[in-house]
Amino acid sequence: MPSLTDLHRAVETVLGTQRIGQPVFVRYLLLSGAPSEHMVSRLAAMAASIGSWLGCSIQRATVLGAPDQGAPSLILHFPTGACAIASLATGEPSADLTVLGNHGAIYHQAALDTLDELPSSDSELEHLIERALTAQEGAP
Amino acid sequence: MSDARYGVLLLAGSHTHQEDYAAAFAADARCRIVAVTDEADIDAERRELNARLASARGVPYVLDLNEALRRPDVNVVSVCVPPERRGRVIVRCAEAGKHLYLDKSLAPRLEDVDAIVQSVAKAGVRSHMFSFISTPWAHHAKRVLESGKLGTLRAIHADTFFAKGRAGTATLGSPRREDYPPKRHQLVEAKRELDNVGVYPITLIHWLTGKRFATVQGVTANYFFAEHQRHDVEDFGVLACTLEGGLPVTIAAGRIGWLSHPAGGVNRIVLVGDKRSITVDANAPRLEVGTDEPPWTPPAVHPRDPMGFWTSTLRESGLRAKGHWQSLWPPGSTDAGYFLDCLDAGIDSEMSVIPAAHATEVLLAAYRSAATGEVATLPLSRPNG
Repeated sequence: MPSLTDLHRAVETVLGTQRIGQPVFVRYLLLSGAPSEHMVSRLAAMAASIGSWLGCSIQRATVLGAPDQGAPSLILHFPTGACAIASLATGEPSADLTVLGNHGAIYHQAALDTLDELPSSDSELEHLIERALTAQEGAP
Repeated sequence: MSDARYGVLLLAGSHTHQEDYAAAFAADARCRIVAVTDEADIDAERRELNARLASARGVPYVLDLNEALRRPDVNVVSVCVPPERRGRVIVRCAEAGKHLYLDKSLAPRLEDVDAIVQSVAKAGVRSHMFSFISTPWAHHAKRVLESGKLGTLRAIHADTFFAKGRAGTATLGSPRREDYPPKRHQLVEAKRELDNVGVYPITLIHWLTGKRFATVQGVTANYFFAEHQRHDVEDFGVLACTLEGGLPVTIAAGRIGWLSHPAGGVNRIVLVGDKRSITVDANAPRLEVGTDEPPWTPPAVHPRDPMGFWTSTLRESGLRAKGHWQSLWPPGSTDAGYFLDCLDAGIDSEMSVIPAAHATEVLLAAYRSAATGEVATLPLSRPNG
């Protein structure tokens, strides 16, 4: 079964061709059996990937949903005006991804063997998300 | 002998959603369309468009709304006037004792929707705003929620994107600056799409959960269309909300362009429970059909409707249906049919002016949040406390 790495590579390939134009919005939901495990590192990895797809760094991150409820969402704002929602949820491992560009879109919903293959993110991003999760408010 | 027991008055005509609502009422044996009407002092273009629908439906155009409302054969008024006129017009129809079938969103100002709710209650008439709640997939989502299979509901994520309009013309690179309160909602070539599209997931979530929205963080954007940017109205919006009790909800809604989706657009909701999560999608399950037909192409740009808002202009532009995806959801009752069922049963619609007014308040909270960068808390304050 294709992995998250394969999914990310495919997304990057499409974005690289500029077929969907400039990406402006990302909705990324990852489901797993225990979403509260590795919550910060998973959200940070998702945020890092989204930032890479949108081609800029995160300006502001806001958390929605209490971490102990297991279904947090990260609202990401970018200086270009682009916006993204990264969420974790309980379910069979799967990825649900929408990338809207100004000339097209990418849609993907499919099961995964595991979520363990998320690309790593930097510790600064993890720290930002940890602060936002703790504060339940925007972290600049 | 005719079974028609409801005389329907159409308030506003062509180049509004009335084209579709009129067709739905006309197809229902319980109804007879009586006339088209509008306020007496409208401009010549609107008058011509109203007369056009009256002619198409073979009914008279009554130039003065007050005169039309005096007709004893009118039981239901279908209201599709532009958003800025809806408040006073709906109140007048309620005061005339007519049941109300209402375009979405209900009205753009808090004072409008408060007056509408009060007038409907005082007059004792039934009301209903167009929404997704009569669709089979919405009913499936409700059954899933009520089944308990998800465990405790932990979050909801909903997206509604209209795949219409020629995208790729907006200038990108900086965030949209929002003004509050929003003013112009519906122009010839652009609408406020957070309001126009976002009202669907907002009302769907309120209907599914029975919970009101408590906090709203909103972002508006100009991602796709120069037309929207030129008129300073958004083509896209994102909401991060909590419902009463704290349930987190995210919503993305907007108009994304003809070719950005294989069907008419995205209509889906993810219900996240602590045991499992489920996605309910208007486009899934589906057949995916491949043929040697010429590939689908967008219709020509209609000078009086460049964004593809209205059924008549899309027909005139040569719109072909997209046939690649065929949803498996069975055809449900029409939204108008649902309202007639409510009238037959003597019960209120589940999308009466009360939840419809709440949706307006959520939308206004979103615009205020987008303008200030702050989370807005509901209920919003009223000028008189």
